[in-house]
Amino acid sequence: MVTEELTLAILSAEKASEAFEAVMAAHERMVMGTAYRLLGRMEDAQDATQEVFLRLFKNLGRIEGDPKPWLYRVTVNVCNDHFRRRTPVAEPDERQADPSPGAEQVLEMDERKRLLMQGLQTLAERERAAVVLREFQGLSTRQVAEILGVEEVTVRSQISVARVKLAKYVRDRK
Amino acid sequence: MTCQECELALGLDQNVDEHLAVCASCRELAEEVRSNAMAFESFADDPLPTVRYRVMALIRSRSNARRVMRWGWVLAAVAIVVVLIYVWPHRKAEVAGEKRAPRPAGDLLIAPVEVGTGASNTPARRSGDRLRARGPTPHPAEVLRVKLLTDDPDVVIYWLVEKKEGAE
Repeated sequence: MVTEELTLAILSAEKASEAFEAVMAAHERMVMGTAYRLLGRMEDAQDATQEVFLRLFKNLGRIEGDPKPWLYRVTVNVCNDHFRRRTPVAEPDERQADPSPGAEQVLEMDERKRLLMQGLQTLAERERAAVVLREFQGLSTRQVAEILGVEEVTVRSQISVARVKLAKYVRDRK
Repeated sequence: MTCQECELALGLDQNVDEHLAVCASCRELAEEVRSNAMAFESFADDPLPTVRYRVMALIRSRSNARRVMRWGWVLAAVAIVVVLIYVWPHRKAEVAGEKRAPRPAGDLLIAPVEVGTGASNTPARRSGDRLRARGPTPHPAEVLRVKLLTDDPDVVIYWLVEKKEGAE
């Protein structure tokens, strides 16, 4: 009797583990990408992603339907926590930020992306989350508003401000 | 027009194109915004590392540890139940048995002696026990009754001795 129950428990645990692995495979890139844009460092993004999926595993039975909104919300929260906890990063090295003489005329996409990643870290927490979800992850304003728990008009305003700040950040370092 | 004024103007939903046509600073900024938007899209193709195996290994090790803990507790509980079911009643019975068990005869101590009627004063003694008999020598044909008291108040031994006629 006990052996039977034990076998059933192991089997159901294995099934849950397999189901979870499938969910993780489907959403890992989304979570990792969001975490990387929010944190700006791959090591931190990996830690955050791991934490998000461990939380997902704990709450697997409580999440109904598409886990994406839940994953986005938790990713933003976990990354904000990481961002607040981590040791402050030194201001970007101006020499590093300045383009090399050869790239002065044509700003390479890689350079812009690097500057954008740096610029994201200078944004306010809410602005960064809004712009990452809207611009990088391609969510609608309504979805972003639901995930962040704010009004759509607030999201629009945050994204607008963030775009201008990022544009200025990149322009000033070209 | 300063940039701050431009942002305010854009916020008021004025015609952006008209404004950009006359403001070089905002035109440059708008160009940056457009270029950034293209860069945002190209981020989607960037390779990203995976943490799937790390997470799965962590989950498996944690669930294994939890399972070991859980079954450890179950085994401990079973052991306690076994002790309660088998060992405890046996021990209880042993204790009760010790209380109820009669004292072995060898342990009985026969201490005082009561002598029956007509007995002589010569005490009857037996070697090896603690029996003492006192009183007169029994008259012929008289029955000598000896009451033996033991340590146990519930146990009294009467010893009746009748002397045969013709005997000394």
